[in-house]
Amino acid sequence: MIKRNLLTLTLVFAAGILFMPANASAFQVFGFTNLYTTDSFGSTTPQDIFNPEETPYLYMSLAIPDGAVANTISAWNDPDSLAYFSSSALSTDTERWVELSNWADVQTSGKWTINANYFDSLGNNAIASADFNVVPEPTTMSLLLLGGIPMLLKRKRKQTKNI
Amino acid sequence: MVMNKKLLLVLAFILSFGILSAGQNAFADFTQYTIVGAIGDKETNEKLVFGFNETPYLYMKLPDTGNVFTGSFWRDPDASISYVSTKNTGPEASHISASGSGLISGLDRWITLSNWDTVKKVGEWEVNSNYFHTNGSTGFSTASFTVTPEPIAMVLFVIGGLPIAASLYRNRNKNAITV
Repeated sequence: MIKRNLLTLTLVFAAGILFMPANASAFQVFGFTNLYTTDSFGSTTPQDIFNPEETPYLYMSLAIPDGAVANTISAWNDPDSLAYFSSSALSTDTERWVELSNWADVQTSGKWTINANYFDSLGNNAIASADFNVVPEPTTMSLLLLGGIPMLLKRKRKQTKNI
Repeated sequence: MVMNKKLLLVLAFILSFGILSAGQNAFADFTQYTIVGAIGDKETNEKLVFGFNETPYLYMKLPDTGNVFTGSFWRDPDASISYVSTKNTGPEASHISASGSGLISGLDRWITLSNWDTVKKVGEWEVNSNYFHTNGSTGFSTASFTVTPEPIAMVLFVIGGLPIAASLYRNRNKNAITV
């Protein structure tokens, strides 16, 4: 009898956990439903590799409670862990795009991490993150190779001569 | 026996709900979050009741150094919302949004509504805030305060109301005698 009750309790406990929503407020999830980078304002096509001439945009899709307004802001962390805040936006818009206003000044090749925050007037607070990479321009790589090959050949000839 | 079993089932479900909720809402709170009566390094004592001519300030002490953004929703007794944000992006660069005013000093921030004298209302107010660090950490807190009417308004109300009350009382007595 005791074993049976214990088993029942365990099953109920497990059911409670399984059916628990991600955000425990009122059994509904509010906050980010999507977060990723795109190549332009208004685009919803994900892109996570950019060359230095491109401007990455952060796309946010939100679930906002009825009657509430939500503020979103993002922190862009560069490959050297320097961080920059984007502008914040307070509205009822469920789709938002944001870029770094000083992107041209701060862009660096490597992996960037964007941490984003959602906070609404009913007290729902959520965070999410997205990564993207900035790769050098193909032309830059080509020039690097073109300039480097003669130097490598010259070095090799010198080594062979010494032998 | 059946009743006990049902009760145990309900309790188990509530317990699982509570445990998972606690886990998923385990953000770090502000170190201190309270309503105060003025701004400045020594102004951190809680004040819960304000006269109509006083200005409430929200005092927030952040748990981390670094670049931190805060957002505060001020809800008035009629549920209208005002929003104030603060941001610092380095030792010298700090900013309070145009809808607010106050002071940012290290981990301490004091803010109020820049149009407080226009929007103030008698009754209970609620201020919900979050902070957001560039490293992705965040936290949330809430506080309430009450705005009471001006003393003079209360006095005038009483003075003006007394003759009316007296008149009503006399009329009632007169009607009673007639009957």
